[in-house]
Amino acid sequence: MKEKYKIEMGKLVLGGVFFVILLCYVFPLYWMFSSSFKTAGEIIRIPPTWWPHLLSVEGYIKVWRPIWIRFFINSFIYAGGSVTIALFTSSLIGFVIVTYPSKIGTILSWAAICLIMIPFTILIIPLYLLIIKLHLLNSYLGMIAPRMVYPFGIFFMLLAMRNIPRDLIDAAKIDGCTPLGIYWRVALPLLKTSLAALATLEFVWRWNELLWPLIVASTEKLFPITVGLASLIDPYFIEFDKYLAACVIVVVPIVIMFLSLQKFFVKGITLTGMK
Amino acid sequence: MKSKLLAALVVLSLMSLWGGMALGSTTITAWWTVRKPIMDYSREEVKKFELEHPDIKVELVGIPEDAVQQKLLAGAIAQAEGPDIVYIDENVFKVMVNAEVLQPISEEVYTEEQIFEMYGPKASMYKLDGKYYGFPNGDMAAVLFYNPEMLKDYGYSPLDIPDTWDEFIVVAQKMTDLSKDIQGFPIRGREGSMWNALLFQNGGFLFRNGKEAMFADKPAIDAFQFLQDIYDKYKVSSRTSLSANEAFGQGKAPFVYNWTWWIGSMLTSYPDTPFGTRVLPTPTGNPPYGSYGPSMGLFVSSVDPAKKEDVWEFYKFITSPDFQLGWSMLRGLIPARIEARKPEIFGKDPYRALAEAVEGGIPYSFYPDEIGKLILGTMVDKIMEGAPIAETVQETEEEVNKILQRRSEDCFIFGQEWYKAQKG
Amino acid sequence: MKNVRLLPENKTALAVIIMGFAFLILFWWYPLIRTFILGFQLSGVGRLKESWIGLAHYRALFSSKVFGKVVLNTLYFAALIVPTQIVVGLAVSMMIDKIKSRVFQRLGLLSFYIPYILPIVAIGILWKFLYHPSRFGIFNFLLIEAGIKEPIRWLEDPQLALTSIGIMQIWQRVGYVILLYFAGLQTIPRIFYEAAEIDGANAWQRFRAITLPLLTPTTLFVAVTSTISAFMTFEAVYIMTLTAQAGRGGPINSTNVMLYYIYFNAFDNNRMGYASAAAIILFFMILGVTLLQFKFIRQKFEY
Repeated sequence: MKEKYKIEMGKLVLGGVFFVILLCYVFPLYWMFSSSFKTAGEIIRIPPTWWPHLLSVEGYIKVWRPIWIRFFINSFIYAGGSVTIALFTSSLIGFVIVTYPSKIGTILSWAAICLIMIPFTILIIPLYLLIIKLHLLNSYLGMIAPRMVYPFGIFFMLLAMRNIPRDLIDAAKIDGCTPLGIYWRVALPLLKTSLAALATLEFVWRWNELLWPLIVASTEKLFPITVGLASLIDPYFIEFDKYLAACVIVVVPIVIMFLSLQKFFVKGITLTGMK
Repeated sequence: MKSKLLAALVVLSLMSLWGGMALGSTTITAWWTVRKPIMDYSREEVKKFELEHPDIKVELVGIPEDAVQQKLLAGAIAQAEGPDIVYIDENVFKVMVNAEVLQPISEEVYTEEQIFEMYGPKASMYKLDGKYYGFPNGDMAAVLFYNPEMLKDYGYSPLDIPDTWDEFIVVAQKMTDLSKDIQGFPIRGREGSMWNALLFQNGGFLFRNGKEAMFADKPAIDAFQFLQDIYDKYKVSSRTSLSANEAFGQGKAPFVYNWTWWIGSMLTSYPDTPFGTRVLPTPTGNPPYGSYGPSMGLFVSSVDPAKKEDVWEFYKFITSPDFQLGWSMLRGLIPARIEARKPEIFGKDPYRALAEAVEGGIPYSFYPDEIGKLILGTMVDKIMEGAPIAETVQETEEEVNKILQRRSEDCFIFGQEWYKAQKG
Repeated sequence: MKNVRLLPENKTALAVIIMGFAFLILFWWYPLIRTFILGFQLSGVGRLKESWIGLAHYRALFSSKVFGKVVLNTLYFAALIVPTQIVVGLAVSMMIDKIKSRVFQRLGLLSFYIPYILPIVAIGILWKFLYHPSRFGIFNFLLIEAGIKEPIRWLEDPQLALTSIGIMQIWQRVGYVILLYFAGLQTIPRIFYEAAEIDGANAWQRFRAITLPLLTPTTLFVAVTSTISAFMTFEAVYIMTLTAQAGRGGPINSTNVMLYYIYFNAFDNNRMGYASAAAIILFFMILGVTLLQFKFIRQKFEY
């Protein structure tokens, strides 16, 4: 009885330590949130105040402009558009390569697999020159176009198709289904969850991306939220009340989105990690 | 029934709107600064223009300053993607002329005589190969900003601010209280720009001419020594406190060095902090006070011949005395347009000091970011972190000369030779 | 395989494959090859005509002091954050694995994971605030309370700036590593541990003999992806190091890393060819380190 109690105590202490680590870990986020409600004067007070003395929304008022809504919409268009198109085209390509075997398909699959370790960002210079040539500079299409196919998506589909019983597809073929029909009615329903997981993860990556949209979008109207936030920083004028309020505005929707979709996230991570 | 009627009405009104847009109206796209006070001002003013010209619509688009160069170049190739009017930093002016992005002002728009009448001899400063590519907006200069209320707390009036650095530092020291986070004369973040002013004050120059730098000399070394002393000997500025602009804006410093464009930012970002300006102290109390910058600003970059007339019409509007007056006040400029130089405004605080500083100053040169970062960024940072002064200055001068060899045609340099020629 | 046809019989399937080729070539293979070609060319946006200049860009890169610093910075950055992420990630994930209550386990994972899903742009601004050199900067405030004398100039001190950015990156990314390791740990059958315990193996021996080897694929994946992302650091430098005079990548190029250097030369200086040559060097750096990691981790940890 005593023995057991001791072990429980030890565990409690360990749990306590873990809890403290956790608190330290999330502290910066708390600090962002609480400081965003301080006045400009309180932010620079020494010693710092642990919570705002009077809840001030000064920073929010200073930073808010209706165009922020536009930034969010642009992020949705960029992240949503590129992920939907990329995963649709990539999975369809992967599906066709497996379902309708041909030499040319095998070549294509290798052409994709060779690329999965190459970061997109390393190609931005020629892509930028290409976008200029295609007259797509400063347009949604220009931002999304290079993302229209996703080598890892093809690779992922090649692997995932192995788990689909061949009979199902053959039966559908015999029934006279077209490739798109089989893809839509047989493959997609079976791979729905893992594709959704992959899509969620990709969505967050695109949503948080800065470099490519920064280069392609030249006018505020097309800025996604990351570029909008980055363009706020003025090296001559550092106003943390304003900046932190902007950070909260940017972060809160993502956290809400994450909490509602977290199952997909965790699955997405384990999927990409276990390849 | 009602709803159907309503729908029909909506459709009709939309169609008429569309029709109106399709019929003969032009849209002028202007790439503008993102700085909020100027943007807000311009939006209001542009509405007036649109009222007078109902067939022209103007779209002001904010472009971050560091991005504008690349976007202009890229837009110029893609033809239609470029703007009709641009507001650019002085240091990319030549790059843009060389890339044929900017349109020269033709005789039909203004004749040479008209230009001279409007701007005086200043206009020719920006004449390249016999062509005017745009008009100067005006001159800004580096001045000393002070906080009159803080001065009062210590028993000083703005008139008591000394003219020489030695005496000035004594005042700044008296007002410093680092335990309360109050710095008498914070310079963190402004070291590079201030070094440049000190260089001129000490009789030095950045460039000899368009092809050669000449700052590796005693004036530069003395200037650095003084900057280091501000931190380490006089202790009126702290490396681990608010940066210069933050501190002054938040009322935690009585003085700060800055260019006059900062007036607009102070007025809008820190409306509660009172401030005045005066010329910088100097080693002897006499000019030169430092550098002043001829601000360039607005250019026509339209490639669409169909729009040409409307674009120039709009250009005339934004270079008009009325528009330039408000613009200059926010940008901290003495307007180049003679009619806009209203003595009742520019003869008074906070602009009076500006006029004095321009009068007793040495013009700033324009050069690509690459050179600016090397001189005012890397070199200054190195020395402020304790690198040996003379060697570092020498090394930097050699590197700058190397870049100048490659890019001298992108620079617009008012060097020592130019200055001597002007002074006769 | 048996006799496979050259082209698929089905027309639609053929169309899809052609589309696949078109996209892959246009947006991946062509840019990849073009980057190599640009590395040998004088190129820029604008009036500049492209012209061949051979190895001049590479010669200029290798003789540039700044570029040497940039390469070292990039390598240091990866060497700092990759091992730290692996060690911390593994340790924390094992702690979370020990938590009995499913609810708390979830909560723990979630809290560590949240920074990862936030944009670095926002995180960078936040950490710039935490790192403020003044005593109201919360890190300095706490350290001074704990007894240090002078505030630390986290981002202003050239000796420290890159490390400070590294700490932020570790904080932001470690949740991802924790989640990967946690998933890996779930796949190890408990029976292995029970058997080892019966054999009298202590906790360290069990870790060394069971956990570590069975997690090799995860470790490899984490190492490779973290290294690539460390090599591709851009946002943090772009956001956190901006000053009025020196631009970004300072103080004194101490935070100038490969991708920022490429960006600066290509998009601020319009030297597309020069920047492409740097991109090619980055490409080979990634390739080399990835191959090394495959070799090293396989040898070291697999049975």
